[in-house]
Amino acid sequence: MIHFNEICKTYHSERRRTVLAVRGLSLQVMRGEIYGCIGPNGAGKSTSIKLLLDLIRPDSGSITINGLPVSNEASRASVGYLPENPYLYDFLTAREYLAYVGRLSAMSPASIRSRSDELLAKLKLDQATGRRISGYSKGMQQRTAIAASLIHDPDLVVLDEPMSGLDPLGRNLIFNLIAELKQQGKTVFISSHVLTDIERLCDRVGIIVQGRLCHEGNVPELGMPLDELFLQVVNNIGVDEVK
Amino acid sequence: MLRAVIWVTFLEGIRSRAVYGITLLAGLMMAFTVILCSMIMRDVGKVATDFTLTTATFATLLVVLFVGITILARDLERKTVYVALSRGVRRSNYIVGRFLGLALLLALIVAMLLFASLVTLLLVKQMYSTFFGTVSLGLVAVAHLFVFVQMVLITALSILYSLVTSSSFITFMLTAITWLIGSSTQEVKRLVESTDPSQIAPITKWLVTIAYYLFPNLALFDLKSAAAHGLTVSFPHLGFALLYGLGYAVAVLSLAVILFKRKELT
Amino acid sequence: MRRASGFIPLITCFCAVVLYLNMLPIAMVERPRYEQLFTLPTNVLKIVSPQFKEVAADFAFLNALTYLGEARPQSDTHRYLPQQYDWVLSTLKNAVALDPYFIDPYNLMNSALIWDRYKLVEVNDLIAKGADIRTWDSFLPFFAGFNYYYFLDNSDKSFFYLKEASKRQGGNTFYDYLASRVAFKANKTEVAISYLEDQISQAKMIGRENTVEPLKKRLEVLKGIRQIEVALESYRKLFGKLPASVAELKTMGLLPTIPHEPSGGKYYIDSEGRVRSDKDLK
Repeated sequence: MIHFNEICKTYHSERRRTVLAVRGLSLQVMRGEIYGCIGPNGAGKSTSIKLLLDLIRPDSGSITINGLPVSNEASRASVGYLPENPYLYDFLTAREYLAYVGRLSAMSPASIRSRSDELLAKLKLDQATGRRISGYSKGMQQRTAIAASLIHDPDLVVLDEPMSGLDPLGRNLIFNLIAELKQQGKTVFISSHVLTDIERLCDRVGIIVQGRLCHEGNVPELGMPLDELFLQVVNNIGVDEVK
Repeated sequence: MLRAVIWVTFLEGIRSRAVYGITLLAGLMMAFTVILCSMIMRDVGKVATDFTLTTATFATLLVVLFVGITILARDLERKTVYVALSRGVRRSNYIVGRFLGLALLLALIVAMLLFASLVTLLLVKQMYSTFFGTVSLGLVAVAHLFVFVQMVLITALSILYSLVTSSSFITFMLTAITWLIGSSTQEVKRLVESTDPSQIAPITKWLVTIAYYLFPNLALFDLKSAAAHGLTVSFPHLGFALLYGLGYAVAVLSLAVILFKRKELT
Repeated sequence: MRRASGFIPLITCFCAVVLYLNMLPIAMVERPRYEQLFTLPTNVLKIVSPQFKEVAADFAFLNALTYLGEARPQSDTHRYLPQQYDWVLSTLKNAVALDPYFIDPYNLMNSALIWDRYKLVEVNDLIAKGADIRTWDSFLPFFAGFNYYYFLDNSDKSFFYLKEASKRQGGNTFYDYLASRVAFKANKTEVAISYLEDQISQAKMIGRENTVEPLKKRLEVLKGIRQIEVALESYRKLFGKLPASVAELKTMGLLPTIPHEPSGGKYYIDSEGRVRSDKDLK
């Protein structure tokens, strides 16, 4: 479903300093798989997701979704993306926002209506649909963004930190939602800090440290709790390469 | 998809507080016109037309500077641009949609201003029928159309600037300065050409000529004097101005699309 | 006690407002008059008022108009100081440079500068230029034509503009009549009297009563001058020389009474034999 092939990406910041964000990342996500991508802050998780969505371009290497190169817009037609911070138009109401993103995905008005009713009810937003998003709490905004990423019933869902800013109830809601996606046979790509959630949800995890995939394995076969493994991997790399 | 972008841009404009403030300001200026007319000796209609058309120009310029630029800059700053681009909307479509949305917003505002101008002028005509002069209400409407064309052009430029610069403040300054320069290049060129060549350095003349061809000549769209005095305007002139404005806007927008396609949206 | 303390903010507010209203006018800096007598060069104005040229012209005109209303003329002659005239003219010149079709600045030049004989040639040439530009309007050629004859002794130009005025929209037979008088080199005072009489009736017709008073005063002066001129002509025919004074005309019985000068001056006969009022600017 997703194929990262030897991706390198350098950022050019101010004063001509270059930052190597991703160096030679290769990664594959199979259809129907829940893939968890974990790593310390600044490891290149968000950069990888932005590369996947063609928001930024790699220096070298290629990325494909369903065999289509990401430079082709059609590759993203059936992708639902939840950004790390919910980027919403706060002058719209939740329902208007869902209508907007639905139209961006070329949905018909009737299906937009039925899908938004369903999602708003499922995410417990149906009380607030008439209000503008600017008046929502952080958790409500996050849930609106999740509804928006799912409105067109995508085959691939990319979630960047889906649990951030949510209370335990909200977390549980998202947790159930991802489980449901898994049942429906969707492919899900999650990047997260919350290792327990990843451990419970994912089929496979990849640990990214300093822009490189350092460890990958099926969750049942890890042999130790994920947090222990994570610390071990990060510390090993840290001794060798942090400079 | 294009229509969704147009719609959301228009909606953002209509719902922004700045638009209400600017509309209020325009209304007050129109009311002030009626009061001011009592001080004028003979050319009352002319002064009223000047003020209503100036109000229209000024208010739409404020909309471009404070609403148009904010919409685009906020989109890039707050990353809401991801919403559309992560859904397979073409980048060129996105820019064109934003542009058309802003153009639609401007069209609505210019239509409202035209209505207000005509009401003000008819009121003034009622009050000072002897001194209304040779004001041409038809040309007042045409002048509003050209205010719209001019502002569409400036909007295209502001889109280009917001993609080049990193902050909305710089975009604001660049757009405002372009408007100022574009409004007076013709005057400066005329002045330079009419003065004694020995008194002007060749480099000045050269710079003025470059500025004249590089910046849009906005004086072409200024029909205030013609409308206020009912002067005859030539249709070839108006046709050229229309084509020039739209052509310039399309060229600038194409450049913006090329830049946006290459832009890294970190 | 507690009740009373509730009023403290109110009392404070009241005191503050009273203080503010009284102190603010005192704090305002009174600027000397000459500081206000500064105008920007026309070319600078043209460039710094992009697309707002017409409104800038309107404001320049209003500036000049309100200035003339506020500035106090010199008490002895009722006329403004030379630098005040300079300022008004340069402001009005800016106004017509910014919008050459705007009639009001020309109008104000005609009523405020021409009759005070301030820079006659320059000002009237400007009015004539306005007449050339405003091809649809008969007022400016009428003013320009009259001024050329009465003030500048140029009957050719005067005839041209008066004819032009009669041809244009709003032109009437009176302009034609005046043009023919000019062509026959009629007495200037008589021409001016008919001009002013027309102006007064025009002003009354369009409901500008406030402009009638000064015109009437001017007309009175001219009528007095005309009366003396007629007597002077008879004196010259009788004696072949100029009388020494206006009083001499009366003692010789040619003038029943010396006409009263309405602006408080006296009539006199200058060395070239022209009758003038000493309140007239040379």
